[in-house]
Amino acid sequence: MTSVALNPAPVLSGADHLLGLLAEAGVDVVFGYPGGAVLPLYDALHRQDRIRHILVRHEQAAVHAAEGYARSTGRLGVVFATSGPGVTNCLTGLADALADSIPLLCIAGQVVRTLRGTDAFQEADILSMSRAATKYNVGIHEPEALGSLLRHCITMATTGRPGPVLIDLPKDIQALEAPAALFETDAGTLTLPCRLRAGGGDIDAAAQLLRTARRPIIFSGGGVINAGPAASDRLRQLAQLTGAPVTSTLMGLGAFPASSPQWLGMPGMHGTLEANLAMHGCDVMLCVGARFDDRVTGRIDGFAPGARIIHIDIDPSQIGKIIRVDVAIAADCADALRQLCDAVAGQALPSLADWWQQIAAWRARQCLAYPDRADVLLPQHAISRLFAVARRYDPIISTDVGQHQMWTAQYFGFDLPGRWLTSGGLGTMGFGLPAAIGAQIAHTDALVINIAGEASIQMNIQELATASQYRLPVKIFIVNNERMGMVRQWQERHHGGRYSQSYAEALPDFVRLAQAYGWTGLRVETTTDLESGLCEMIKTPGPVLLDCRVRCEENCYPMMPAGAAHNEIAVCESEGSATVVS
Amino acid sequence: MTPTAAATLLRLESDRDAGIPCRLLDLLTVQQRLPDQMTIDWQPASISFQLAFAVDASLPASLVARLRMLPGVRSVCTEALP
Repeated sequence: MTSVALNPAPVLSGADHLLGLLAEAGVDVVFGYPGGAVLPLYDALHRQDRIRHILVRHEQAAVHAAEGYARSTGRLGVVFATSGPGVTNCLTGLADALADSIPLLCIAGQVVRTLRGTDAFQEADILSMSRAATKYNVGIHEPEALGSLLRHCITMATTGRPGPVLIDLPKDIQALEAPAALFETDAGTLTLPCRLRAGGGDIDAAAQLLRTARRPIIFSGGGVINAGPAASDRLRQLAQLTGAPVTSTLMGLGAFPASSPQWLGMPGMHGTLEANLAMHGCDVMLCVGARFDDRVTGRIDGFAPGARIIHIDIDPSQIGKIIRVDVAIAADCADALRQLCDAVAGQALPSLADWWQQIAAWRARQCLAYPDRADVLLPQHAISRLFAVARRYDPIISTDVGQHQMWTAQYFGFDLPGRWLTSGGLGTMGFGLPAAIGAQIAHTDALVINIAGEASIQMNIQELATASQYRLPVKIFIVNNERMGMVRQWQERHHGGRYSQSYAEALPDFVRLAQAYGWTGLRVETTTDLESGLCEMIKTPGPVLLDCRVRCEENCYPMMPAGAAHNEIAVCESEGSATVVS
Repeated sequence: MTPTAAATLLRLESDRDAGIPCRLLDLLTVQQRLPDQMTIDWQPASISFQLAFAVDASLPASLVARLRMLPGVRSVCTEALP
């Protein structure tokens, strides 16, 4: 007599199982590009309808698009790429996400297990290559470990200090058909760093410093954004309770409203005079979710010489790494700020009138003022007017890297987190357009603008096609100075005006290029036409590229030269390298 | 007489994950803090590392903290050698 199973377990492929787990984890969008080693995965995608796939034109752009999605939502960004060149193309994006602590999961195909180590077609040792570009990476060598490792990796990417995680997944495991239980056989282990909480003693010590400060400053970073909206709310509450001025790193813009009278602007190399001098002259600095990047600190031995420093960071290895601190709090920013608010609330605080009077004097220098010129379109004016025209739409702004990025940070005011997408740590040209696409996918009805340079935009210009394919109404505002502007500026200041290779003689006609991809292309060349051009860009349905021709030789000021301190800032062209002393 | 720092022994225990020795060495290389001696003991479900650093070699607290933050690392401790 033959026994027959009445309810045989349904059979599915490893790829089916993986997609099911991703969907259960809340993933609804994946950015990617197919290839030989991920064909089973793409076949499984075709069989399901819970996860939408966005086909990019280059794998680097897939990662940046996933970053744009993650940075604007706080959710996990997911990327699919094939083996070999597909996933090596992802490396810059992964390094970018690592530098800025962005939660990403990259699932890379790999050649079948029997061919591993044979120099097979499109075989690359991506685990070795991506180790330094990821928070964690792992190869799946047995189908039994698929489920547990995928769950571990999602947890790893999204908890603690977020970051990119890569899974190397052989094609034969994707294709293997088996009952679902097989892919869950091996529970696996992955020890996660322990979750740190603020201790009462450290909070009390920090609160005591804030209660006695005469010249306090709150200095926030991208960690406050990454910690979620609650952290931004607590930051605002603490600023209100203490009355202290607030400055934020490039990555932290939007956590505190730029429209607040307590906002000083960004500190650092291209920060405002008042932010830098307040950093230099403060007696207590509360640094929260920032890591004292060299672009912020300037010369270390001249950094905040009279300050007692409190440092809150979820990553304990960042505390004391660059700057000696007096109170170290290794904890989630939102949790620590909440405790700090509770400790400060209702307490009598000293008057900060003298401090604010000093700050007002620094503000009166109007370090971001620029000449009113009718003969030429200044980039500062172009971005200021873009802000004026666009702000009512609560736009999401992405940038590339260079002068336009710094001008946007200076002249575009951000009042909310998740509206400012920029490559801060790695400084990746080509980030802006795919990041805007990722943000637009997540926020269908939002006004998403990529402010780009004419050099940066060309590094991922092929993504114009992606926006066309998905009918995404992304806007691109090119600050076109026909130069790699920041390189040119440094060559002018530090290399004797020898403009080595910073001028690309052949630029495309961006308007016709945009039209070739199905976009609306516009151009503005004069101050007179700027306003109407901006309005047309925003009001024209669908994707629009506006080529804004600005003065080529304009430099970005204020500028704290490399190796200088916060009180050694050149504030405008006419002052050259003149120093400003508080 | 100038006092000299003692040699340091660093013990680290981790999951049995082949990526961890690589990440550990990459990190120490970037930080320019390679040990004089290093032993790796592969257990069925874990890996134990012992790294001996020379006299005067400093192991900043932020580096030790960073080792603790490596995924898969279970414990890190340091001790001064006589």
